[in-house]
Amino acid sequence: MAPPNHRRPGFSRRAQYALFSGYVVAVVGVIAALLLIIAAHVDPRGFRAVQGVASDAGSPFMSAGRSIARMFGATDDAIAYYLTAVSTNDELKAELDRARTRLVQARVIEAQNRELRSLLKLQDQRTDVIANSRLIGSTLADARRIAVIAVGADAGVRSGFPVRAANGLIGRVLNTGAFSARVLLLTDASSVVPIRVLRDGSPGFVTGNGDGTLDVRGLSAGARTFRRGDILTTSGAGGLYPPHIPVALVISSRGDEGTAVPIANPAAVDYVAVLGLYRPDKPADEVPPAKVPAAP
Amino acid sequence: MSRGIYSDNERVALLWGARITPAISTILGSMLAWAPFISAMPVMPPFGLMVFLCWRFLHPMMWPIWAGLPLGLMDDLISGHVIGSGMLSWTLMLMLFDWLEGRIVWRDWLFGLTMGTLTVTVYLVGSWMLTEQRAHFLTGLPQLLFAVLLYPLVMQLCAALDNRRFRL
Repeated sequence: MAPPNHRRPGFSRRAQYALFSGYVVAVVGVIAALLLIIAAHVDPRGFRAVQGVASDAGSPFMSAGRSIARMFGATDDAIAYYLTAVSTNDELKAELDRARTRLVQARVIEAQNRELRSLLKLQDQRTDVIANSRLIGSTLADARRIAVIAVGADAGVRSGFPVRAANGLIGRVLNTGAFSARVLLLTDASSVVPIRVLRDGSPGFVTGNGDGTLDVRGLSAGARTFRRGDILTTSGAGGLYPPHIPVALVISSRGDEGTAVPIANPAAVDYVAVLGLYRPDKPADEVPPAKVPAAP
Repeated sequence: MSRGIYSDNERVALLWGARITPAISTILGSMLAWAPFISAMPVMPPFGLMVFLCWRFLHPMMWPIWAGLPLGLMDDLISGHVIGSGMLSWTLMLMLFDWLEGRIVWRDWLFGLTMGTLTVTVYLVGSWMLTEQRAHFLTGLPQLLFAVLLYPLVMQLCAALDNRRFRL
């Protein structure tokens, strides 16, 4: 069928005016939207309040659905556990024996460490846990990697605060609502974390690649900083992330850069802790060289 | 109200249920981004946009030309995009389709299908480029594939809703 020209309303003046004003509204709206995007690019802090309200609105849906998703995940695992019970039991027993020996060693080292620290009169800068929460969802349709947690400004969470799981760093708070907050994950391209190699302490930083892996760069040019299997921890440089939080595991290296995977997997982690800023004297929003990318 | 004396268009204008169904379904589509899964890659197709496009191709006159502004804003807020990006792109899409339909001679379901699929593809590739993710675009391929494969299904759903909305 050849298209009838609907947008040409004939001789009715009223219809013509309505059509014209519709176009005026649309064009003005497009210009306003363009300005909004530019404003968000220039000053990423501008719309945090609005985005916070939006993430609050979504959080009940996410947390309700998350418990259902977890229930199914649990049954799934439980069936698999029955099938592998005996072999898993043997493996775990052997591992427990090894772990006990290591634990005793670790206790000794810990005591020694405490003694040496008190000898050196090292001042520990404490970082407080602001709040504990569940990870309730993530942006699924967006190219940026952002997760949502179920605590917000009411619990004292502010944008810029680091977020960690029991086994490693997750990311940092991007914007907060009253009872939910969006967290920029390590794997996002705009996330930059200063790190240190656990093996020899050499510095570097990791940025996200956007596909679940991280890009690691050393600060000493030319040297082969990273090896496969290296564990990277936060260094505390920049004052945002507290030091000694495990970040990533190096899976391949080329010269002074490499590829790593995060140690804490946001999809597997249920509970996370929001930490205070390591050095609060630096304003949170100026610490990381992050830029908020524009998405259409 | 006797139905016999009204044309379809007039009946749409008179029935609130029929008038707000397209907008509500678009917002519900956007709200699917709230599904409680955490993933390392974007996997969820942009359902809000897909529903929006399907309605557009079912009834070219149905959306006023500014409809992309409120609905795009809702999508931005729900899925956490940069505010304004959806408003801008959705409105530009409507304008582009109006312009295109004036150019081509034949319009049928195939036009809606190909244009919708193309638009969703360009939208996803564009947002991948603009967010400056360093990984290769292939990592975004599952999302694109889901979107392209689900598009005809969304079209069917919209058509089914369209048949039913007069009785709402």
